[in-house]
Parts: sequence; structure tokens; C-alpha cells
Amino acid sequence: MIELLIFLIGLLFYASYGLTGLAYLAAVTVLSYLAGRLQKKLRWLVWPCVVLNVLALLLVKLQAPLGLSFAAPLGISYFTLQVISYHIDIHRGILQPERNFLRYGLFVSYFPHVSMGPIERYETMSRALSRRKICWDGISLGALRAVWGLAKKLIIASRLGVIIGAISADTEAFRGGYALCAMILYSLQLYCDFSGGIDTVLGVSRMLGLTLSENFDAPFLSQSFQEFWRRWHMTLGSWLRQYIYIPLGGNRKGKLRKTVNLLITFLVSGLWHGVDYILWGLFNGIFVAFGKSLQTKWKLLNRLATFLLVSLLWCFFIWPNAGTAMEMLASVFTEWNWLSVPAGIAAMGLTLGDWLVAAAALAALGVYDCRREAVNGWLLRRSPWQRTALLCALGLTVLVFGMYGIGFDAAAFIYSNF
Amino acid sequence: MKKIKTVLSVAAVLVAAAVMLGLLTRLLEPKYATDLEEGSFLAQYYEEAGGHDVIFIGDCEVYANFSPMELYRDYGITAYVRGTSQQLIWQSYYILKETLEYETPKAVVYNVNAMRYSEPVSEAYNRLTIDNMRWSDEKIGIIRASMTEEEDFMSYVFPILRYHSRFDELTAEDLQYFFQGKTNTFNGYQMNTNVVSVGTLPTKRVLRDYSFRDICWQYLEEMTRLCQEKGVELILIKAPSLYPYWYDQYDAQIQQYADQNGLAYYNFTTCAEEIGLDFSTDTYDGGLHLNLAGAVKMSRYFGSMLADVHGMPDRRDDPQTAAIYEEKLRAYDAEAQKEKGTNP
Repeated sequence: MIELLIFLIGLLFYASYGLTGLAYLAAVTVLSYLAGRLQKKLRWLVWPCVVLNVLALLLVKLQAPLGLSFAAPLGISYFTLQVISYHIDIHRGILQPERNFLRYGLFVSYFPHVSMGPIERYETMSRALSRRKICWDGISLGALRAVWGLAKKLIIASRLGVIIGAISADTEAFRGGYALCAMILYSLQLYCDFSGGIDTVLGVSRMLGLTLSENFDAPFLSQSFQEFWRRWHMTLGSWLRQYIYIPLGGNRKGKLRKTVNLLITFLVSGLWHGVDYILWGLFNGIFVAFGKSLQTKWKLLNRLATFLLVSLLWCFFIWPNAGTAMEMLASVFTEWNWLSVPAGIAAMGLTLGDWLVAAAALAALGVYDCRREAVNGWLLRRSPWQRTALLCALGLTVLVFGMYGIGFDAAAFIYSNF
Repeated sequence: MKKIKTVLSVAAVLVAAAVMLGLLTRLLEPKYATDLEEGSFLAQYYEEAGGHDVIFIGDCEVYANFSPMELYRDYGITAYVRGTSQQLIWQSYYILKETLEYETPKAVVYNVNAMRYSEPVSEAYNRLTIDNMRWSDEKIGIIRASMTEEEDFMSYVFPILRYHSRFDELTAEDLQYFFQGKTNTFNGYQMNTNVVSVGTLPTKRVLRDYSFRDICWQYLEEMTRLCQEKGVELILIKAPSLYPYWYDQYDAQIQQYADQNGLAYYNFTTCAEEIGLDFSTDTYDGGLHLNLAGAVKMSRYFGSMLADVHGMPDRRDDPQTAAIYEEKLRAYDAEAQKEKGTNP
């Protein structure tokens, strides 16, 4: 009954973004459900299913080069990957086609995660649905996680967004040191925005009794690009590994093939984000392939270097096209305007109070990321009233110190654009 | 037993959180005590609602230009000004409706300046008018009618959603006026003794269309109907000001409406000399609003009309009213002296 309710709410949620998108989602759900049922007998069906979904996704991603312009259905990047993985897993014989349409419909259209993930494989989603249980622990811990996600988004990401928005809006005035600051701050903003959104999705799901996959594991503690990509957007990384990298041969066919496979995988990752991110994907692939050789014996130095390099590559996310992004990246090394940067950034709209609040919230986030297990264990041992008190305190903190209201769209997450 | 204890403890925490939310909201809301005082004007009425023969409704041109203290001193008329900055006509309608829930005056004086505005002007002005109104059907109506596109209803229900970012702007005033706001008007009149003589006014532009919009007429008709239902005389005025210009075409439309509905309409922009106004000394902002000296002259002039033409009673013989107003007048005169000392 609750599953039906969640499904119907999902459809309503989707319909609120436009009936065309809902029609597309409904068509994909029904057709892939039917094709999955037939796939056991007609094994070749996997190919049209995969090809059609890939083509649809390519059409969305290549709109600009193809001279097209249309509103992509909400979450197409996410549910398309899920549908592809479903058909491939049936083809590989590791998954039985789902008979229950409602359950399959929920897998594709589950509204909390439809716009930014996590990207689930059917096996995981099906297990989560089978074990679904609403209990006090799930409700209280889920609510805490959802509000924690909002805190990351509204207290940190929204504030940093003010500075990044100001810098990226004027590529003539804000270059060099400003550009580097924007890239570093963007690392933090994107993490707080994206992981905050995912926390909210996982929290709401937990309240509904569903345990979904984690998408982040303290990525800024990574000592290499390889490690970073095991900790950042983990469900996309896992999907790319399972359905691109390993089928290409993975690391089983020598060093050269491994490198080529990595580059192809990251190019696909870049394309999944959009045409302007192909270079970003390529650079990430290069750093993953060759980054190990840059590692030192000092952990802290490795972490700082990884963070800095990852930050530099976010230039493709900050500026509107790859050309401008490369220009701004180059300016970091060629234009020395460091003395003017602190005063310039101080005049970009954040008050001292804003900076202090953001710094305190980042410190709390750092502690949580470093001591996640300990904090979660501590939370589990709290009594119901203590958890409620914590939830209320966190909620009030978000209400007061969050940056939202006129001029801010609290419901807009960066990764729901991909 | 354990379950009951758990439920009770969780409920207690939730109640505590709700109280904390209320306290935080009050702390973060602007108090409108010394900065943007206009935001507190409407709220001051509730303490004094009832017993007024005349209610003024309208924008800054009423709370700056008409002093109920002078109306009482000279004519014994009890009056209250329910004016706010940039009060739009739909706001005036709901404020009138709310006022008539509290009392039934003999006359309502409405300043028609807002007839020229047919769309919400800005969120800031909406807040100044609406924030401190008490919750009622009228407040819900005024919010719905006034919201600009960027606003949402919930931020009026939970003002913390709007004012949360004031956490780093809090001053001692936010604590001082935490429980009780500051009374900074005299029956809704905002005293100002500054003198800024009229200078060069902007050129009078020729408009493409002088006709008031349908929505303004609809609300004016609603106000007329409300007053008729309650047996209250509606008097239309255009307060004296040199700018923004009150065009002859505007005047003609209001005059026609007044004639059709049997209402009195006084356009004071054309009789400054008769009133005795001198815009080199009687205005605090170069001719837009009157200062205390101007308001005294304006109130005396209009007071005689209210008494003689509209039959407003002289309440000075009523001991209870006299006691209240004598105290008010003492405070009013003391404030005037103090202000004059500050702005000689």
C-alpha cells in the first residue's frame, strides 16, 4: 500500500515538472518492464533496449551541437542508467526480470532520487524494497540525515555559491587568484550541495523504510584521484565500472589497454555530464591513470594535492563552456593578482557573520566526515527524546543560518541539472 | 509505561522546540522601533482600538499630514490614522475591513493617492504594512492581494523564513523591544519637525493614459460598500503634496466617482494657500510630506470641515475621553518640544 502511495506521489511530483517528461518516464517504465519480461526468451532484446536508451540520453546531451533545444525530462540521466543496468543484468543472468510492475515502476521513478541519484542497480533497489520497514529508528535517523543534508546545502553551499556566482559572472575582472579561489570554493560548494541533496534523499528514504546506496565517503580525504573516484559520486563510478570499464577489459589486458579503458570510461563520464564536460572527463581519466606516480609518502600532502587538482578541474563546472574554463584555468598560472583577492572577495556580498557561519559548518562537516562511524554509532545509542532534541536543534539551526528565501532557490541542486 | 514515557518526553521536546521557534522568530523580526518606524504603525492601533469618530486610511500622506492630536485639541474630534508607507488600495480595503471589526467610526477618510498604483510595488513595502497586523481573515486577504511574484505566503505565516538572515544584524533594540514594541506615533500620526524646503521638482510628465485601473476601482467600490453597510460616511481626500503630481485627470475621475456615489471628495493639493501651507517651511522632504508645522495647519483646516460639514462631535466634554486625550496631548506636546529642540 505504501509502495503504491510512494509511486503515485512520484508520478505527481514528476507531473509537476511537465506532462511531457511524465509521458516519457511512463513510456520508458512500461516498455522496459515489458522488454525485461520478454528478455529471457528473446535475449537479443537487450540491444535495442540499451541502444534506444543510450540514443535518448545522447540526444539530450548533444542538443547544442545538434542544433536542438528542448527541455530534457527530469532525471533522465539517472533513470536511463538504471534502466540500462537492469537490461544488462538480466542479459548477464544475474537478475531475474521483475514481475511486479509497481516494484519496477518504483525502481525507475522513485521520486526522492529521480533528480540526482543515487543511481541504483535493480538488485539493490529490489532488496531495499523487500526489506522495507518503517520504524522509529529509521524515522528519527532518516529525519536527522535529511536535515543534515539541508544544513550542508543551505548553510554552506548557498553561501559559497554567492562568491562563486560573483566571480564566474565576470571573466574579465575576476581571473587568476579569483579563479583559483572560485575553483577551491566550488569543490566545497559542490560537495555540500550534491552530498547534501543525497543526504536528504537517503534520509527521506530511510524514513520510508528504504536503505539506498551511499554516494559519498569523505572524498576530500582521498590521497589520489583513483581513491577520490571511489569516494565521490560512488554510484555513478560503480555503474561506469560495471557497464563500461569492465566490459572494455578493465585491467585484465595489460597496462596500455587499462589506460585506454580508463580514458574511455572517464570520457563517457564527461559526456554523461554534458558535451562541455568531455575535457573534464578526459583530464580526470589522465589523473586516475597516471596519478599514482605523483603520490608522496606524506598523507597530508597527497590529500592537499588531490584536493587542489580536483578543484582545478571543476573549472569546467563553474564557467559556461570548456573554452572559458580553460582560459580561466590558464589565468591561475599566468595572472598574479593575489593581493587584491581578499578585499575583492570580501566585497562580494557575504558578511563576516556569513563567513563565520560557513566556517563553523564546514568544521562540523569535517568532523563528521572524519568520524562518521563514531557519530552514527553515538546517534544510534541516543534515546528517542535525545534524537528529537537533536533534530529540532539542527532544524532550528538550518532555519536561522540557512541561506534561502528571496533570490535563492532552495530546491535547486547543482547535480539535478545533469 | 515505558512507551508512554517515551511519547511524553518526545512531545515535551517538540513543545520546547516550538517555543524556541517562537522566541527566535520574535528575536529576528525587525522591531521597527527607530529604523523604518512605519512598520510598527498598524500594530499600535490594537492597543487603542475603539472609540474613534474618524479613521484615516491611506499611505504616508495620511500618517504624515494629519494629526489626530490637533483634531482633538481644536475640535474635540477623536481620530486615529491607520496609514502605512506606500499603502496600496487593496491593503487599504483590508485595513478598513479590519478596523470595522474593532469599531464603527462616524467617518472614514481615505486618501486616494494609491489609486494610481495597480500592482504590488515591492516586498519591502508589503512587509512594512503587513508584518505587524494581527492574524485575521483580513490579514490573510491582504497577504494574498499584496504578494509580489518573488514572495510566498509561508514567509508571512513563519516570518523567520524571511528574517532569519538578520542574525548578524541584531542590535540592543531587538532585545529592548522583544516583548513590547515601541509606540512611536500619536494615534497613528508620525511627528516630524525637520524642515527641508521645496527645491526643484521633477518635470511634470505627460502620461499616455490617466485612467485608473479596474482593480483600483473595484477596491474603492468595495470600500464604499463596506462603509455603507456599516453606516459609516466615506470621505475621499487627496492630501496636499507637490510631488508625485496629482493630475487634473486623476482629480476628475475621483470627483466623478464621488458624485456618483454621494461621497465627499476634497483635493487639498489645490488649496495649499487657503490651508496656509508654506512649502518652504511646512515640509520635511521638499514638498512630498508635511512636517509638524504643516500637519498642524492641515489638521486645523480639515478639522473644521469635519466638524462643520460632516458633523463630527466634540468629545472634550466627555470626562473619560478628555482624561485620555489630555495625557496624550501632554506627551505629544512634550515630544514636539523635544523634536524642535533637536531640529530648531
